[in-house]
Amino acid sequence: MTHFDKDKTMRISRMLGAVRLFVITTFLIGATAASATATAQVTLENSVQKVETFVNEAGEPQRRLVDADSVVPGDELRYTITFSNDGGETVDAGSVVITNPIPDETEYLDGTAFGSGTDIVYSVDGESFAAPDALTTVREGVEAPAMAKDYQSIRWVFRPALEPGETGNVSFSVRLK
Amino acid sequence: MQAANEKRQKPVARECVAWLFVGALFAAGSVQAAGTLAGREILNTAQASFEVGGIPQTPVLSNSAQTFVDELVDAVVVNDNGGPVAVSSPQNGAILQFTLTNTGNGDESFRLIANEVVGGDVFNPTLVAIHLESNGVPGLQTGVGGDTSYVAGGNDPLLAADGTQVIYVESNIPGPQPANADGIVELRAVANTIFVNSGTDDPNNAAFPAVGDFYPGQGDIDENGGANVNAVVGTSHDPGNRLFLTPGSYRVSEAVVALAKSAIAVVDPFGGATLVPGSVITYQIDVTVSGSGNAEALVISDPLPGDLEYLPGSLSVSALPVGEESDDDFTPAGTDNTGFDGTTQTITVNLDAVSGGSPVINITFQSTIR
Repeated sequence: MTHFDKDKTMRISRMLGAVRLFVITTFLIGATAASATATAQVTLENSVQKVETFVNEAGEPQRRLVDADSVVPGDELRYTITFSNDGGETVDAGSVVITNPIPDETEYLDGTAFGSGTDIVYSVDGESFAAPDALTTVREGVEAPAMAKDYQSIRWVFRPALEPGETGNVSFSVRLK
Repeated sequence: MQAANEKRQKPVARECVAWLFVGALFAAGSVQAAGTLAGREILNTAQASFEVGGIPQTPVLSNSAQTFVDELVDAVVVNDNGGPVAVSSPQNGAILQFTLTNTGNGDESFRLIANEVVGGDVFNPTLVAIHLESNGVPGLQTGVGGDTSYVAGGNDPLLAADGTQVIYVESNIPGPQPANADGIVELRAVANTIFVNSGTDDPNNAAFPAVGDFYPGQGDIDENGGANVNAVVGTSHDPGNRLFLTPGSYRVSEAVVALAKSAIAVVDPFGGATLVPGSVITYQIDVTVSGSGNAEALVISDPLPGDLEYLPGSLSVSALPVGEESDDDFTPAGTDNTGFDGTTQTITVNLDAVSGGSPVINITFQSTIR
């Protein structure tokens, strides 16, 4: 019975979650509609793959991207965010700013963030962003240079203008804790 | 020995036998943490802001890239004995202690197998039983209120990620064996996910899985209650380094020390035998040395738990000359180093060399329940 009740409670709370999500979605659609006077619209597509190490025919370890259908602690995941201008107007140069918080239960892998034509900055608090050299964190009461695993969020600033129909992508890797 | 003191709720003389490895501490191995739990949903969402003609537009969100964490099936078995366990030959009921840790990231039950037919030893111990530590009292206790006997497939220990189970393997030592002869028993823990899906619990069977093998939909349920994630065989199953099994060994010793501690009398402040504050418990530790040689520099230590207070003057040791058994001369700089050390709350009896087959030595003392 305890299990049943717990399940029920979980299901209800999940339903509430779903309702909340629905409300937010509606709001976003509404907001998009309101700004539709400007016809430019940037869309984002987020995908995940697993980085797998295998031994090639020459007996050397090599890395490849595979579906993230099966991931376990210690695996490396690579996220790719594709951005597109699906509207009819040019998006201003230097104005596309993509922010991706590091997913829960993962830690960022140093040097893996990439994005052609972008400047990349990081944050240890999710609010202020800077280049790695400028980031510090407090470790055992002492301010120290931040390490990759301290990063909470990554931000890419796309330098060129994004013309209608144009697409770009940025990516980064994490390790599942 | 603290264990036996804690058993005082059972009033009269319930004997509790423990093996004491004098001078050797159990080395509990530390094992790696499991990591993110099986079934966790890992979501990733990006956001973009942008401007058109200098006018900020409403930021957009990406879809959430979603992945579920599979169950990693891993186990580590550690030998807790800190070396070969001294036994005499023949001897019944010789105990090896192991600790199993679920180093995977999900809930898993484990099938336990003890194998006494392994190479590299002189004799094969005769397996009697496997026991699961279950009563919270360190060491194996059998009988009412004791630890649980293990039945394969019947009470396989179910462990959460990072969970541990202390396991005792009980064997009889055949005789006669020469001094210093070793007998090895190997204990292995095979996850039931592996046993059920491969059909074998024998790592030398061709059907036993390799590291990285996975069983679709055979792991824990995902956190949304949706479906079972996959189960993946972890690195503890590497054929070159099988962490899920480990040997323990018995070594026939020229002298074997056995300790049996019991509460032989209880007197409460009202003249009865109830256990209440103020009750005085008389404990007896029987020290038996068997074998053909001597137990050298034998020291018996018994730390008292915090709720017992040693009764000054109550220590008596049958083997020591009168005068050396008193408890008021204990000091690291003292003459016999036998007595009650108030600093460490420990009763220490220095028996020096005791030859095998000597009469049983009785140590008695009294303590008061605070």
